[in-house]
Amino acid sequence: MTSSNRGRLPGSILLLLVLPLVPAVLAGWLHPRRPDWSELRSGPVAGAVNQLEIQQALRDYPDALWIDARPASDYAVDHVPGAVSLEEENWEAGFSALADVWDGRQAIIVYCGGESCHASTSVAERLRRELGAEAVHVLRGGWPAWKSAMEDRARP
Amino acid sequence: MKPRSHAWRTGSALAARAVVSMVFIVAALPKLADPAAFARDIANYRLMPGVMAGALAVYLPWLELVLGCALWVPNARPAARVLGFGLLAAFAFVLLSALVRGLDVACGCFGSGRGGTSLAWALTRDLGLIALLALDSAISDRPKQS
Repeated sequence: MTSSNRGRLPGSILLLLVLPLVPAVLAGWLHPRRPDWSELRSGPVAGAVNQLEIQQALRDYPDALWIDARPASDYAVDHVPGAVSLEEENWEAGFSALADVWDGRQAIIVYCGGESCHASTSVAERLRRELGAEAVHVLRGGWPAWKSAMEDRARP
Repeated sequence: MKPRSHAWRTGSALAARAVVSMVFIVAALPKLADPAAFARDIANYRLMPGVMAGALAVYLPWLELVLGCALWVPNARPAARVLGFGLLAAFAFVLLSALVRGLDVACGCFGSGRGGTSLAWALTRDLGLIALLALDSAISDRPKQS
């Protein structure tokens, strides 16, 4: 690098740092899948709970207790085998069913209807508070991720 | 310097730069498509407030894209290298801190939904990219001999 290039280096670094700011601000404001700012502002909602990929969940937590945070009507149609239905709207009933089957040491994995739903995260947060359990995770991709993984397994 | 040796060095620098540049660009694209998921990935590392995770989630992919392209612009290359080193070192720190804290999180390196990458492997890959960038820098900055 020549001395004149070295002299220009701070300016070039600044330019490269500033350049992405314009599209980033636009993305944060207009992107259809922009971060949920109100949720992020309200606290570490998403950050307090680990998100697991389906393969990681199946591999690392074979004995996990699954919690279905979808509406009860969806749960009635189909759900992860052994999963307990726990909706925020009907918390007491679901919570007592959970207390009956949870052994106090099992990891808990919560899922909802897909990537865009937040029910699994809020249920997981509440479980951490009310059960005092650390090992509460959210399944990334929710029910569709589970279905897809099971279909992949069923293929010859 | 012998012509063959010079060609070999130039080729090595170009190859190293191409790998780093491609990784930056390929890593940026899925995150550009889904900043919300990337924000969750960042938040899962539990290193910063949620709003900062959201801001980084919309900024970092654009920075990666700009750096990936700037590595091919001669006037911008030295600055892109410096920022590339900084970015990769920051990623290494984040991955290492997650490993030390025993966090069980998705790497998020190439966007969400691309599971299967352990944090240890992601850290190794990151250090490899730092080495490639250093190789490109060392060869390209070497004074040309006649």
